[in-house]
Amino acid sequence: MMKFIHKLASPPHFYSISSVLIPWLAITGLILILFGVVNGLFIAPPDYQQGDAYRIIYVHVPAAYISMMTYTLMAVSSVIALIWRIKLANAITVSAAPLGAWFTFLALITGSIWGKPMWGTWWEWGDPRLTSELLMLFLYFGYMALRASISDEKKADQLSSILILVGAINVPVIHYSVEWWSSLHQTSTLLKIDGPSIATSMLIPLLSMIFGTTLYFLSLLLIRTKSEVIMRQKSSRWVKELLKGAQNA
Amino acid sequence: MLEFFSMGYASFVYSSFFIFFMVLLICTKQSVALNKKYHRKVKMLIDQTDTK
Repeated sequence: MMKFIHKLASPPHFYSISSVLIPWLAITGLILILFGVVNGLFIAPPDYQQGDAYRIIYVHVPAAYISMMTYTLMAVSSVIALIWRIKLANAITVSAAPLGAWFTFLALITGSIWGKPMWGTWWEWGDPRLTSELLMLFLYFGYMALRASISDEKKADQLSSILILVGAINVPVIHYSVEWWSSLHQTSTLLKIDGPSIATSMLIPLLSMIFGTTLYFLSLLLIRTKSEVIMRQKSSRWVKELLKGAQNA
Repeated sequence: MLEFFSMGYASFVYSSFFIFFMVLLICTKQSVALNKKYHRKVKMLIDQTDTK
């Protein structure tokens, strides 16, 4: 297992594996998204309380889930980069940040659009779920600003990884905020001990959207990480051979 | 067509889906552009070192 991880973490191996994976992840992701959109918008029945407004769940939940998953991924790769000094880990953290910021923005906007008809307000400052999610958007911005302000790559990697780890405390706060404090936001629908509290006809498109968006997100992450790897390894022999080979082809 | 817009809260629902696809499009465009930019930049650097 460790041998496989070490092999995967080697930049040339990662580059060739991700080149194969990207189209498959993107196409499968788009098919699942299309299935989720058609079923979520036109086939799933309306909710008995929220009517059709609940259909925003099909874009809000995948966005919110990916925003938290991305931050967790960045925290894990920051730990790996700081302790084991695996170069690929830094490339993953750098590449994930802008995508994480976009999906956090998406979660906030779609949540706000859902909030207006259901809660009667676009935004509520006193709500722990909303404010902790907004804090995560600022953490993404802070990370990108910190990196951009340091010209030395090694120093930028180290300091920004520490920032990510400090901010990681916000991830469980976002997740459990609806249970710890009183919140306008509803409690978890999917991750419950006694199973999801949603009808199967509504659950299937939701799962399709979550998996589809995740696969598509992974394809984008691999494209960005590949680019970052090429940039960081620009003086290595394999990059020269690869780019010259592409030029001659 | 009328059925399409007769859904309750149609403007809220459809605008959410529209923003979702816009974000996917922006992320895709940015990722592809970054890939092209970095490849071009590294190619240029390699060409420069080769001619020296």
